[in-house]
Amino acid sequence: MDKIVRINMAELTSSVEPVPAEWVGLGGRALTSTIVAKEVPPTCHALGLSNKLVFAPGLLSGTSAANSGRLSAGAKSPLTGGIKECNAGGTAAKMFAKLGIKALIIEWIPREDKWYSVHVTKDAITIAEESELIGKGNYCLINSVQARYGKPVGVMSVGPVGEMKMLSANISVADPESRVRSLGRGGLGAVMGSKKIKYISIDDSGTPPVMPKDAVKFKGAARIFAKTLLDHPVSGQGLPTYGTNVLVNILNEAGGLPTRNFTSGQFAGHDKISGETMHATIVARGGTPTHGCHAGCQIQCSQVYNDKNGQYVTSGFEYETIWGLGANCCIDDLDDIAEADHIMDDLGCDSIETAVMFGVAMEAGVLPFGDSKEMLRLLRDEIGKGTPLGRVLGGGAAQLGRIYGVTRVPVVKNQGIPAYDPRSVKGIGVTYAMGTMGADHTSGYAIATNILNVGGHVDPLSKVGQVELARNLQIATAAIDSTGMCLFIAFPALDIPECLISLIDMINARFGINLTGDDVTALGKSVLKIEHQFNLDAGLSKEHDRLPEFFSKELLPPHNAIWDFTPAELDAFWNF
Amino acid sequence: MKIRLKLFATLGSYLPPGSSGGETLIELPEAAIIPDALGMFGVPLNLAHIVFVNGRHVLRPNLPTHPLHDGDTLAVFPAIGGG
Repeated sequence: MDKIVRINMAELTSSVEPVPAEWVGLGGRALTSTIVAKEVPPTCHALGLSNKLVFAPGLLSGTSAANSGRLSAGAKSPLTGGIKECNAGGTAAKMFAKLGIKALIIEWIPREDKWYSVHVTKDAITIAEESELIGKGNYCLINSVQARYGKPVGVMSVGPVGEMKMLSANISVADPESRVRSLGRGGLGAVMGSKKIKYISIDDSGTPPVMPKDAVKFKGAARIFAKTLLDHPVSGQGLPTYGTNVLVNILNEAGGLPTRNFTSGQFAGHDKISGETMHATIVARGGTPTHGCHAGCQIQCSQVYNDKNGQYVTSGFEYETIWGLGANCCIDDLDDIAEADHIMDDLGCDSIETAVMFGVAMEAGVLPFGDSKEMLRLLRDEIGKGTPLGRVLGGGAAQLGRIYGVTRVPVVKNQGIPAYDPRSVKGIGVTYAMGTMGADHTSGYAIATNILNVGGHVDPLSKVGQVELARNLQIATAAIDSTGMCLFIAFPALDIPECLISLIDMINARFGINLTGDDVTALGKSVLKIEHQFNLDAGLSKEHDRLPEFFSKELLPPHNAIWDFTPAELDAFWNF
Repeated sequence: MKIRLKLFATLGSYLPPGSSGGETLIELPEAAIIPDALGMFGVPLNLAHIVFVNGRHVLRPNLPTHPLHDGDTLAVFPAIGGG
């Protein structure tokens, strides 16, 4: 029987509750956002006692459905001041699902200034004081925790950046190879740090597999669904071969690759950091170009990147990270960017926020554009050690910009803008402006239709159709984020009707219900509205649904594109 | 006329030996169209999923007839994605 687990960090106790009727049909983002909206006072301090950190597997997590292993985490974000949901792969979602834990809710903060761990099994929740691993990075921590238990337990942890409650702190999730996936954005690691939890470990031993109510129907739908992932050229061939970093060259061609802190749309060194170059480098060094972030991942967009000596450096080496430290910072050394990615995973800081911050820091003169060695030093010696400068840098792009008086600060709701310039890819600009999460490309990935010709085509340089595109994508994404599915299933879902039909069939077979496509759309709308209302109640008004002024004042080469949406045009996003 | 032809991802294997940076300079007769440029290296038109001329998309219905001009940059990608 599914349950809700609450952990009270003031009393150092836990409790188990039945799932309230109104939460039964929810999972992933729908559940974390519903719980946060219901139980967290919107005006509370995000690092204070009233905030809650909620983890939830998706509706299909734990089943045999391909790509269903994403774990959601939600809270009030200390970075944006609004609601936050992140999701990541790893092993935790499946373990939670097998344990029947529909949501794990962490409440209050400890009375004493001590660190704790939480261990979850089918029989007990154990909260223990932790001292040995405090200050340790995530790679060491995951290995140490799994060694303690003598088995590959699930691990969710914060690195030193989360311990220090910096706004760029993320939560790491151990993957099947005991490496790091990230609940990246919005400073959720700082929230976990404020609860004084260094790590949560999960042991699903002794639990049966998750059994769908209608196993035959589920199996049939799962087979059709998996086939659509294989049949679509993006999820079946492009992503497995090149990973997400194949986007460097295409955004460069489109003039939408933000370069030198968003002052150009093309980077002269693009070829050196491209997906094609990365693929060749990985193969030449004996790395793994095709790799999954969770068991059952069929798309396998991740990879293992080795150094010149064939030694592991990083995995899950994403386009947005490579863009951010690459074109955005005018660094064309992929090895240095890979090393930075490793350090950020180990320290537990969001690689997008940190990369956007470095672009602003370079503009501010903290370090020169292109100086990858100084960037690495700042990560290790300043952010990693929590020096005063490190805490300034670790607070993200918006904080850095305020402290140094920079006006070209690419953020929405204080969250750094990723990888796609909104002036020359206008659909994603609408997503950045209107998204409930702050600037977040994954919340409504208009790049698919603006640039990649998936789901049709909407001219990226024209305003026409962009608000509708961003709205529809955000509604669909909110629903997908609730299933436990990887967002990349959206590529086949946008082009192959059987993909979405079989996804809904799997949910129905899993729970013995009869959802329709309209119900799923209604779920997505409902999630967005719940999140939007929380943001309004937290003080994020429609005036926060805007891009920074410089986007409408500075032309972006090569197309000399400008951000030209009126407030009324943007506000129409919420007309649903 | 001369144009820059860029072939990315799996299409890079169609470039002639000695090409660097995923591109090559080619000479075409006046009034050439996109299939003329791709045909020089045997790139099947149906693999040209995302096509830019000077950074602007050329959509599939227009690919067979889209004219090229001296100095154009033609960039061609197979179906790829990320995010």
